[in-house]
Amino acid sequence: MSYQADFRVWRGDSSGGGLEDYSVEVNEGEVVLDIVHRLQATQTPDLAVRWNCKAGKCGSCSAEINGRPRLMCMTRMSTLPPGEPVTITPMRTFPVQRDLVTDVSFNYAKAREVPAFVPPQGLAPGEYRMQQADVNRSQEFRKCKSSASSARTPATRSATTRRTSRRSPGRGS
Amino acid sequence: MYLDVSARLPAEEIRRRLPSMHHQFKELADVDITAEPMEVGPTCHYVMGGVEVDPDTAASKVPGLYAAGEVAGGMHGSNRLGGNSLSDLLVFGRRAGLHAALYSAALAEHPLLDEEQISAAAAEALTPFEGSGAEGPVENPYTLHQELQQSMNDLVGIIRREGEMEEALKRLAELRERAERAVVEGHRQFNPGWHLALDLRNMLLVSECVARAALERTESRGGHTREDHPAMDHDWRRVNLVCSLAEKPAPDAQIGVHHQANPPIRADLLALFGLDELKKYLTEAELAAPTVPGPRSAGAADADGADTDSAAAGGAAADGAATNTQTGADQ
Repeated sequence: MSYQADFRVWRGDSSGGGLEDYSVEVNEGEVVLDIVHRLQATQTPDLAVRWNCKAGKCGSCSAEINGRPRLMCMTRMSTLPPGEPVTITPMRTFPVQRDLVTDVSFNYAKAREVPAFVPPQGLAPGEYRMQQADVNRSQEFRKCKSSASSARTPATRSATTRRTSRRSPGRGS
Repeated sequence: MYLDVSARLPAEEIRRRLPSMHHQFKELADVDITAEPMEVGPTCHYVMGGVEVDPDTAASKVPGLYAAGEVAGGMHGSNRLGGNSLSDLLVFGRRAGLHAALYSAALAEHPLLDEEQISAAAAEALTPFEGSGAEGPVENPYTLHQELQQSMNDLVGIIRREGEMEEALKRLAELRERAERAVVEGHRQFNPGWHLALDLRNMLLVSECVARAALERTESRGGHTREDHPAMDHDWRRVNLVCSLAEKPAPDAQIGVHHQANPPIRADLLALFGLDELKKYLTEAELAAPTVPGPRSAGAADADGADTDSAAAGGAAADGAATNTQTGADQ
């Protein structure tokens, strides 16, 4: 089932910009990032948007949807109010570079402050094993990053996003 | 096709072991995988072939260029086991970085860049803004990209057939001709349409490598499945197919493929396997070699021969893309 949706997308750069109106096709089951990609492919080839995993892991496609920070790849069109335009703007937490792309170098600076993992000295292979409790602890940080709170916790987000995630939800890497 | 984990594991165990999958299916498809089956489909997931590198240094054939990870070939053979690309990165990423640094530090003088080549590359990069001037209608790079994806998926996908791969090569030639007419608009700062127009040339070359090598390899092995050659052929095991730019590129062939023999498997590595296992892969002649363990010593690991030969296989086996099941929620 397809329909035409009204989108208002912020276009501009660090010197300024504004909302532009578009009408784009939407199909059943699609997320906001799918619509932004269709917009790029059919109407605005130079629309700047950053994205990677399309699986709610990497945080790259963060933007504000109707004023709220969201991951575009995890926001289903069916969860937005029907018949109303969808407004997409860059994250206000970070300085704008171009369109929906922001300068997130703050995240990388924070990530470098996180000490690297170093196992204790003098252990033989097999003596130092990851426990389920360790996995669970890192899972908490992932949840935090994937949610809309990512903008408020940039250090956490960057620490968990330096690893490239792929789209397979299973045993990808 | 449906995959059902709900019948095999308790709900709590599924949430604990597959938290991301559980979350994604709920968020994106309203499917609770602890209670109902999930719709799955095959998709391209990982490229097994890649840049030909020396296994010890990760050096490519281009002096000073090093490659590791998914871009490098030869590491995983004809199929990558799940979880192995991270260990690949840890080992070969370190080697690549280390040897790139050693190479750079050992240079007596740093090579000078040819200004003419830089200008030519810059002009070429900017071509999509003005158009190449090639005759014909202008093309949208996104449309070309989608058609390329569809052609490769349909014709050089999971089950491969000779006629379909030949058809793919024809379509690639047409797409390459059209890609010369790709035009983009806008600025040079973070312009995805422009980046795609630049990437198309490389995508088309890699696609041709995949299609030509898959057509050439008349057997099935790992992620490469030929309907017209359904069995594994032991003689093919030692052959890497190396793709390079054709010396005389033709409109329908930018890539040349040549056969390159893998070095023999080291004796200490052979000793790790039982004879029954080796019989699945080695030719009769290889099995007759004195280094192949007999039935009695099968499985007895002996590391004494570790220094005999440090050369391991590191060719660019462009056997094609690995496939892996992905979820129905991934559109």
